[in-house]
Amino acid sequence: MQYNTREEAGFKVLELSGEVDLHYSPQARKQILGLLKEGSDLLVDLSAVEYIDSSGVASLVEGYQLSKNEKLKFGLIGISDAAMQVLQLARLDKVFPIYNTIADAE
Amino acid sequence: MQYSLATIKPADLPAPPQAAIQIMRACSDPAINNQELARIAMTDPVLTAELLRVVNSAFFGMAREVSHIGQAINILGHKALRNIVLCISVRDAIDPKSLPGFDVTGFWEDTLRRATAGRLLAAVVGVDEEECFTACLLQDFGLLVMFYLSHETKAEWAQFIKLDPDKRYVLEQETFGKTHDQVSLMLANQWALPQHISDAIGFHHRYCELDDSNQLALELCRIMYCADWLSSLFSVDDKASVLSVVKKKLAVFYELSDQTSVNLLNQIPAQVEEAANALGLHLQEQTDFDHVVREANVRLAEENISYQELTWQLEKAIKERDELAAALAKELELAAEIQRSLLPAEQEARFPVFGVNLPAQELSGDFFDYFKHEDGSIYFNLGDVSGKGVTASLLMAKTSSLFHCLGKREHDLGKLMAQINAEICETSVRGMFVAMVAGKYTPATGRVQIVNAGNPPVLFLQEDRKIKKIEAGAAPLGIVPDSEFPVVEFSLGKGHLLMFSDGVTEGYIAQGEEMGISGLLNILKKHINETPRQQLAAILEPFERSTSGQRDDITVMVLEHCGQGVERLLSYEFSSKPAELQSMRGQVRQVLSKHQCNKACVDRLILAVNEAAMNVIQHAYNFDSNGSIRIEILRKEDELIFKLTDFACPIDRSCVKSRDLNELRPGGLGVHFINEIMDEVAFQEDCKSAGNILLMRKKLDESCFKPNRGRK
Repeated sequence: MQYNTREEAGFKVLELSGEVDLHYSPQARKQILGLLKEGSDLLVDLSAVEYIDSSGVASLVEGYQLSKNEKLKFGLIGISDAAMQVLQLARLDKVFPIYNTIADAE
Repeated sequence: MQYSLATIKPADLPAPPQAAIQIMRACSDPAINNQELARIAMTDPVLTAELLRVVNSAFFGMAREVSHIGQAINILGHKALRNIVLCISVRDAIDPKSLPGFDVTGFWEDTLRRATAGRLLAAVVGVDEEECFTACLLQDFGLLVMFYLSHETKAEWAQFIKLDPDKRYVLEQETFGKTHDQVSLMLANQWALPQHISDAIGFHHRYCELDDSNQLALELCRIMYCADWLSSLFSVDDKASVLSVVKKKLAVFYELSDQTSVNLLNQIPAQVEEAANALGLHLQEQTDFDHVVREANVRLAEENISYQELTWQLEKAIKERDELAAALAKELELAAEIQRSLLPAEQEARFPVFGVNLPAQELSGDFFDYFKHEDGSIYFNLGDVSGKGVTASLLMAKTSSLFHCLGKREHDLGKLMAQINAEICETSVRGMFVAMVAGKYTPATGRVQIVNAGNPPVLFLQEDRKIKKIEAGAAPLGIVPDSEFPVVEFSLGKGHLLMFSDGVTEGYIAQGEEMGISGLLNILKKHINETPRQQLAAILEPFERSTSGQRDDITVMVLEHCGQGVERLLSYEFSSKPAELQSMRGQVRQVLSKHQCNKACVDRLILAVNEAAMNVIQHAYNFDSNGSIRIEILRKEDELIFKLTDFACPIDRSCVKSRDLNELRPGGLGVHFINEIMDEVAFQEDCKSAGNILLMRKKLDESCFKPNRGRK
């Protein structure tokens, strides 16, 4: 897994790519929670995610829960097929705020 | 009767001595007495002397020597005297010196032989012998006259003597423009012979033209005609056939047996010599009849040899024909052998495809084939080339080879059929085409693909005993170049497929009654609980029972599901480290991808296996990276079994459960994923040396094989 953070339209955008599994999800979790703790509105870009397991999904859930507590904006953008399949399986596709573009998230 | 010949006038004809004419005339006069007759004869002392010499010869067989003409007349009578005078006159009528180079001796020999034969025949059949002798002596005298009158033809005699009377008669006409009977008749008239003798001489070759009332002449004619044939036997080349003719003529005219004819013929040579002596003619030694028979036999033997040669040649021709037929049969047998080699060799008993091909003739227009691809899938096809025999078998060989060859490269069945179709269309002759069903079976998944191009329906005998028909979805190969070949795909399950050529349904099961598709279905329904091999035997049974039932090549092929046991697809062991999971997932993906499952299905199965492995790392090993995990993938028919083994302490299985998804929290999703994806998840009770063994089962259904779906 690789990640990259950038800012756009007042959001921090965390781009995750590759395989977000048990080995890498702690890094993903650390980034997500870290950015939220900075007080940033966060969008996680999953467009380049090839694989995500329950631990990766758990990181997103954790982030989502923290954003709610911190009254920050949190959402997912550009979800890959592989990621969407897992989110659907977890019934989270209806839970996470999901946007097609950053502009939609504003 | 008067005859005029264009070139021969009576004046040209040789005339007998005056005394002879007077004697002959006097003899025919009933009023004349012996003294008067003797007086006329004695006017010619030479003739008288000759008369006495002839009369005293052995030929006439006088009881005692006659020394005076009056005595001779008293003993012989007028008629005999006339005949003897006539004979002497004929003999002397033409001087041999006037015919230089002509075989006069040969001519007289021939004439005497004819006269003798006539005399002998007359004796046998009871007719006046001397009159017959005289008439026969004179009958061919016309021929000598013709040679005498046309010197340039004298060499032709050698040809005449070799021919039978009929052929000789034809040659006379060709050589002289007239025949001896016509000339002889003129002589007879000029020499004042009795009318019936003249008539007989004139008509002995045409006796049918004589009036029935002319009995004396008719009687003479038959004797003369037969005498002609009898005498010719001694001079002709072809003695065998003349001997046969002589025997037939004597049997027809006089009802003589072969033996009587032979006896008669036997006497001729000796009698000829006696007659020659009597008439003072010097002949060569006479050939006896035995010699004639020997010559005839030689001829017959020669003919027999030709016959034998003919027989031999016929035998040789028959032998050659048989050899050619045998060579052709051998060629056909070789062709049939090559063709059989195109059919698949009998596979090991558990191979899922098998079939039977019964050619109607030496060579079959039907075929079936199957082969296992290196990826484990099995390709099979069954075809029926239009027509039968050699031409059909050649196209069959081509189509079968194309399928076998192209099938190893082209894995899309529809495209494979399109390629074969294009090839056949390009080179097909005489509007021949191929009805064909082709398929691909993947034992790993139990999936079957079928293309039916113009073949009778493929019968799918399903696990639930229902029979489904897969009808043709395209025209036969070789008709439309750009045809498409739709692929029908389904899971074989525990059922089997039955493919057949129309030789089965169009074959007779009873007198003129075709089996038909309904008949075939009836057989299958009757044997529905039997094995596919038993069902195949049941289908063929009516044709094996009746030899007349098979009208076309018969081919049946069966594809049955691989009822094999559990197959291990993967066994992979890795450390209990999260970093190892990626490699593990790669191994699983590689195995599942070979199974033609779509990507979504593979992704989900990988997710489930990964979650299970994660749980082992997290909960069994508590992130102790020194642990070991083994993932095995097993296949049992259409079910995949994922077996995950660890060597940690047994876990409390009651803690392993799905959570309520409405409860939004980070953990606990893994078990839900596993349960959601797999059909069955359970820990194995007896783990022996291992810590925990988790068994996850997934039956591969239609959804796993549908084309990849996009996001839902």
